[in-house]
Amino acid sequence: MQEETEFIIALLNPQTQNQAFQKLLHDYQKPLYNHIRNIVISHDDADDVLQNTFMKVFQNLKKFKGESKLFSWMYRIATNEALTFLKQKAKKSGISSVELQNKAIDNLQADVFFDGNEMQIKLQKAIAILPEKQQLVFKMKYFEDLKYEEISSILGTSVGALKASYHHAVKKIEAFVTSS
Amino acid sequence: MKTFNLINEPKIAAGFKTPDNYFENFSAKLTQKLQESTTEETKVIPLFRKRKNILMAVAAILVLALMTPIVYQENTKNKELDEATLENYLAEQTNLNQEELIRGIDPKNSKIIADTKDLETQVLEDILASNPNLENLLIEN
Repeated sequence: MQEETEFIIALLNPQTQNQAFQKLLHDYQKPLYNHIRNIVISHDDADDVLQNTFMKVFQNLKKFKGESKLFSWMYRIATNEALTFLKQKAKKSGISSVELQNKAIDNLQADVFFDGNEMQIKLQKAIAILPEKQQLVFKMKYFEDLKYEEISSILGTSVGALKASYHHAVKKIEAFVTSS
Repeated sequence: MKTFNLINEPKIAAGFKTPDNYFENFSAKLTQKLQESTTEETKVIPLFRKRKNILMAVAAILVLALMTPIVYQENTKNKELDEATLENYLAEQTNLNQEELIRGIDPKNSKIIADTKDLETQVLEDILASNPNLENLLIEN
């Protein structure tokens, strides 16, 4: 915690800001990219959202009170940015968020930045039938290997509720894959 | 039909990949974007600041408009107070007595005489009858 406080001070100090921000990017750009990409599916969209996320992090560092860890604060910003991005994109296209997600999954086979097989596409389709919160919990646990405690600090949901949510998600996905 | 068991199956990766050197270039791209945004921030004039002068002008006009009746009332009160003060002063501080005051009235240009023209005769008689002292004084003058 002390280390993190010192790191935030370094990020706010104009003399050490550049170096500290490069470290922040180095530590978080890959996990945050994966987190965002799992939500928005397309690489181009993930790139836009990742940039917005780091911009917001940088602009709001002064307001960061250290009540939560820097890790969960940044993940929370990334999650909100990704979900808002999808909602705005769906609104612009005049379709629902679910339709937009299905469209993105349909485009995966032609996506040069996707090297998955049929089973991976089927899994994405199965995830798409889940409610938004269950999708988030499943992706963070299954693809990103985050601990329940970490997911809890990001989403603000109890560990017990997260376990139940993940269990339901797995059952629904298994049923979807078995039947298809 | 074989039941699919996600947990027992080998882990399925998301299958997403990035362009070559994406993360190496991302850092430079973001740093540039941040610099641009900080430069832009200094140039941007918030909408509120543009409206601030107008809002202040409107607020000033409203305050003046609301103050007008209060100021007017205050002035009127001051005037009444001054008259009252003058009356009291004359009544208490002056050395002139009633006779001296009557002597000071010019009969050719007397406001009192002019005013009495409007009074009804009966009323005038009543006043003179109820105030014999005043009648004597008028006769003497």
